[in-house]
Amino acid sequence: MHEAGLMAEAMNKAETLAMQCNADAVAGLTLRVGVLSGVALQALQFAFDAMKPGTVFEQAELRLEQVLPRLSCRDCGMEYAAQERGQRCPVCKGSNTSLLQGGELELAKLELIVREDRTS
Amino acid sequence: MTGTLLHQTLDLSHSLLQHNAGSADANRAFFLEKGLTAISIVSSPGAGKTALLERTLTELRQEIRMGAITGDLQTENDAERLQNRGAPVLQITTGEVCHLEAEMVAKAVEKMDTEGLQLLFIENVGNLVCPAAFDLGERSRVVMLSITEGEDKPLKYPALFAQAELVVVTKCDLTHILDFDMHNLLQNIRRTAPQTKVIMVSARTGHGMTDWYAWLRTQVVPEGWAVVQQA
Ligand SMILES: Nc1nc2c(ncn2[C@@H]2O[C@H](COP(=O)(O)OP(=O)(O)O)[C@@H](O)[C@H]2O)c(=O)[nH]1
Ligand SMILES: [Mg+2]
Ligand SMILES: [Zn+2]
Repeated sequence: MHEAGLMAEAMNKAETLAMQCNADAVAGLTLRVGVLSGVALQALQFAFDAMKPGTVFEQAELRLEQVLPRLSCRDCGMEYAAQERGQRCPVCKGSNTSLLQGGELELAKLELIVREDRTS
Repeated sequence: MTGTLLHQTLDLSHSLLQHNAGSADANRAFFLEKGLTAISIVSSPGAGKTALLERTLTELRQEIRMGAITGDLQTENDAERLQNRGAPVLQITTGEVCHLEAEMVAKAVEKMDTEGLQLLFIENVGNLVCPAAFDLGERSRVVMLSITEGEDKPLKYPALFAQAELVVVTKCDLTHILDFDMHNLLQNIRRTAPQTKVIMVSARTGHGMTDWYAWLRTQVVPEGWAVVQQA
């Protein structure tokens, strides 16, 4: 249910960057979303569509990149793809693991439309 | 002077939780300086967070100086239930927001008299999903699960269980009525949070509360610790 707040945070940051670059508009916005971040992609899309009218995002396309989980084993150093947190190490069967990726929630890319005479 | 339109691409890795992370770090620094241990309690609605705190604030009041912040979408009910136990209590009503954020905790703590407190409980909004994404700057996160919710909850909400310093299984007075499979629950907790400590309590009968209190004592910063740090 907090996807709207997160989307607003992404759009605020993107808008600030767009202004700093003297952009006319935003053409695209990419978020990197870990499968284990607990965030629903449809809810992000829904929030974006609801908030974009009348903003620099009016014509922008939202891209959502999913990141699959990877764990590392603190006992033997093995790094492996996993379906869930706490999935045991395939080598030493240990359960002392840490999440390498799959929990992220990031603004990853911003495509701006800028007039040539304004680029610096 | 209408120049050609160009596309410009910026590659970023801006965490959407960065704002919250900053506030959480500030909270952590504040608690550390005060020698105050903040413990957040997360569960689904009705698991028994407030009931556990009612008993705790009363039964430990001679021993540990405690305070509590309770988060709910609406109403001051929880704060009222915790009143008159010798502990400062403050309610945060979040309105629409389904979880506490670090900044809300900072504002609440500002309004509270935390001088001399040793333990600060932070009761999160009842929700097993969203609180997982928001660090509050607490020292420990306790995840509570009442047995009426079923044995499979740790598997369904792994992100939160994986963060738990301690899992408190509550309403254990109902084990027989529900024909609850405690062994299965423990296995499911182990699968998602292999390192986490688990205790079983009933805030109704008081069963297991001594284990909870023993754990709380390990969390309290020993007197004089802050001074030692400075030396
Ligand atoms: N049988 C039983 N009921 C409990 C226990 N703890 C809480 N409850 C009941 O569960 C309901 C919800 O408790 P509450 O503390 O408000 O849950 P919270 O929403 O997590 O704060 C109340 O009716 C409590 O009386 C317990 O250990 N055993
Ligand atoms: Mg409550
Ligand atoms: Zn290993």
